[in-house]
Amino acid sequence: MKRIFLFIFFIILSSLVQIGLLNSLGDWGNSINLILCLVIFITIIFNYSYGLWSAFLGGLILDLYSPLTFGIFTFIFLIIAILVNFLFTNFFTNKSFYSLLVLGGLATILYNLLFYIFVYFLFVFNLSDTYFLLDITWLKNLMNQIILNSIILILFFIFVNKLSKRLKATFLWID
Amino acid sequence: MKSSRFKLSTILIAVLLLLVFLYYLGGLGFTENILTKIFNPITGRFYSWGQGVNDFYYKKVKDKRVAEDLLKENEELEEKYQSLLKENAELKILAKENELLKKELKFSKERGHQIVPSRVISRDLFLPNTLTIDKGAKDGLVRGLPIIAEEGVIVGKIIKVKDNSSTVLLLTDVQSKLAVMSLDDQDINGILRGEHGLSLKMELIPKNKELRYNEIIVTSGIETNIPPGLLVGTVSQITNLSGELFQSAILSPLGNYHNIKFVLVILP
Repeated sequence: MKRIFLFIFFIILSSLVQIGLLNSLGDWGNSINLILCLVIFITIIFNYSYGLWSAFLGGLILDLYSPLTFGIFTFIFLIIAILVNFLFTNFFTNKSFYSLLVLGGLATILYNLLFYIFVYFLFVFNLSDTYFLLDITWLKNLMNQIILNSIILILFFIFVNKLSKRLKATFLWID
Repeated sequence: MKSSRFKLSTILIAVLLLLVFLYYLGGLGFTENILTKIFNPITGRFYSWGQGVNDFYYKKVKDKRVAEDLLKENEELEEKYQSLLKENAELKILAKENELLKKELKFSKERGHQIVPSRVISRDLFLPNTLTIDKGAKDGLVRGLPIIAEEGVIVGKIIKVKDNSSTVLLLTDVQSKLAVMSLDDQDINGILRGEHGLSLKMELIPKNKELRYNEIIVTSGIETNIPPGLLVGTVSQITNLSGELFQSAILSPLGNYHNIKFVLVILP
């Protein structure tokens, strides 16, 4: 029970850090997607169910503060958790550092594409008055996100590797 | 195990759809209010820390590149100086504009607008040219109200209002539009749009009107809830092509769009 409360508190705190702190740090800070990193990391390294819950909770809090259509963050994070789990169980054999990085990069690209597609359709069907332009700025921002999210995932991996035996078996292979 | 996980993802998506449905019916208003009341001070604190880090970073970068910056600044000043020497007449115009600017500031204060001071509590992840402020519908805010950052300078408009918070779209965003005019000649009017979150572009300016460099641009007041005469920027570049129906201009913003911590909302 205590573990569940701690988990909920951690996800809420991370979401508030994303909304208040990271989003105010200019282009680079704004490119870090802490909740996306947590969803990917928890889904791969810990537990798919926890990954789904972190997507749900984190997404809802981001939605609460977003001017975009309510539910869009939560929905995309849930899809990302499902996709990451599918890719991991079907195409990757172990919880290695490299599979985490590859899946992190893939998930960041998928997340941005899904976001663009959803926002575009909501705009086309008059459900939202916001749209994004697929221009060089978007591409540059995507590159920044891939780099920074990978760094965050590496830091998570090192941190968990130091604290837990979960990743101790080998740096490249466990389970 | 697999089926229980599949079940969980399906349940969560179903709950989300239900929440979205309830949200748009207004059924989540109470919960949303409580959550934002709890979270707003925390996000506000985090935002202040973020701005502190930003300030520190920019100061450090400035210190490191001080020689380079000074050289560049010196060149720019030299160019400005030469330009001013050649165009003595423009100095007079500038002096006049300065006088008008002072009058405008005084005018803005004297007009006695009802204002709501607000604190910026976050920026959006996907829309960096938006700000979230800690005042909302409960404080009388509605969509479309102007946001003033410093001394009568408009920096954005409210695009979304919740009970305890509102979202502001900055003028530098490509989706932002604002009716503006020249402070000197009200016939010189146009539509202001943001350019990639960086600068301001005034479009649809009548071709027969003579726009001057450093001319002060203010809100025209033809939009609902936006009073006339709010400062926007000064003309820094004019484009008047022979084949075009209108002329356009790039404005140097008078407000600081990078480090906004507190704003004023003008009520109608």
